[in-house]
Amino acid sequence: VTLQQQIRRNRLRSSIVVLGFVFLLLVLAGLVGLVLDVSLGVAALVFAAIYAVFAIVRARGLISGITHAQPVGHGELRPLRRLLENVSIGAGLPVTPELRIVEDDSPNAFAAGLRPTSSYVGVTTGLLRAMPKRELEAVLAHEVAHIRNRDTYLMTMATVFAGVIALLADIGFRTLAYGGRNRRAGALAAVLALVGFVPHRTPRFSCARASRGAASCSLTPALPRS
Amino acid sequence: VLWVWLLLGAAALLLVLAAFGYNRLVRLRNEADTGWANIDVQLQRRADLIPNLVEAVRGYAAHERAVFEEVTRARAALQQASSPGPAGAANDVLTEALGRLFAVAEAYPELQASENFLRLQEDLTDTEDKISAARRYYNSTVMHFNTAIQSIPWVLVARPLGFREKEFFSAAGDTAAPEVSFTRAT
Repeated sequence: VTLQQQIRRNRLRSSIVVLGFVFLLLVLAGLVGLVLDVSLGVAALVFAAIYAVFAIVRARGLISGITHAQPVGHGELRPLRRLLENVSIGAGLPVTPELRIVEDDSPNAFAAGLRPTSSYVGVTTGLLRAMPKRELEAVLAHEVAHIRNRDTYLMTMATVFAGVIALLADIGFRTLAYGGRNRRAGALAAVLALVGFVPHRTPRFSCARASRGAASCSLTPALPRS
Repeated sequence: VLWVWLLLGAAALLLVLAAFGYNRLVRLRNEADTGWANIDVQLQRRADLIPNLVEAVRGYAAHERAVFEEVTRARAALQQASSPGPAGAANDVLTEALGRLFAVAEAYPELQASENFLRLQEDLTDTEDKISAARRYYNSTVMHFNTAIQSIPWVLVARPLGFREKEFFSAAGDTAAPEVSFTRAT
């Protein structure tokens, strides 16, 4: 398997994840509509759609908020910013991702964003202290590869959709637990709980593994997409 | 009647494949062109830094006229080179000339310590790093594009369709053996 094929597979996988979750959502809403009430099913679908759009639009900021990643002032950390520029040029990205710093002693780095043009790379202060320039360059190249391969896109989508379905399942489960009691509703509750539990665990892990494989393959020899 | 349909189906399939293949060639060519534009930007930046650098050194070593002229000539040659092959050669000539300029500068500790000179030197090193990063990307896009148009079936029609092989952007450093030193740096 060449790097090119791996990237292509990754993109295909992104589409499958997105379509799969949309399908799952439709099935769930359909079930709710059939078993309980059509308007409830429609309401769940609309709510899920709004929530998903909001989460996708806000994902960039949310990740930044959770990690406490701070944008770097203009004149600061020039050597690091230059390293990031160089690996981005080497990867053929149209623009250099923004650089953000996390005040944390543990050495770590991450990439976030839906498109290469609006992505950023976060680096902890612990990593800056722990690594010499060349090793830091390798880490940055790895994160930039995540952005170029659209791994960040895949992960954002997977996380948002898993979150939406888990939330819907939770709401449904509680509504049924405290609301009307009949056998059909009980069966639906079981299905909801199961469906809510499954995507919450498996796909996120499989995505992480698959995408990490691609990114670590494409570390330094920056190849174009084809 | 059946074979007519089969023939029509095969023709349609071939047409679809041809369209996809053609689009792929166009995409690969555009990627290579973008890659070259990336290098060109950095080469231009490198050329822009040089007058200031020459002025900085001239302030201390006005008599080293031959070196300044050599650097200025090499810079002009780089700015005139418009395609990857000549630009790569001109860039190498400039690198050599700059090496001599820095050798001259080494005789003047005051110059070496000046803020302006250090900044220029740092910018120049950064630009050189960026040129080599852009070169890595460009050469890989060229490799993919050339492989595509040299492979069957495109090798038969690439030229009439206006697809020409692209030049690699090579640097002298590529072929030189790495220097190995067994004395320990302190």
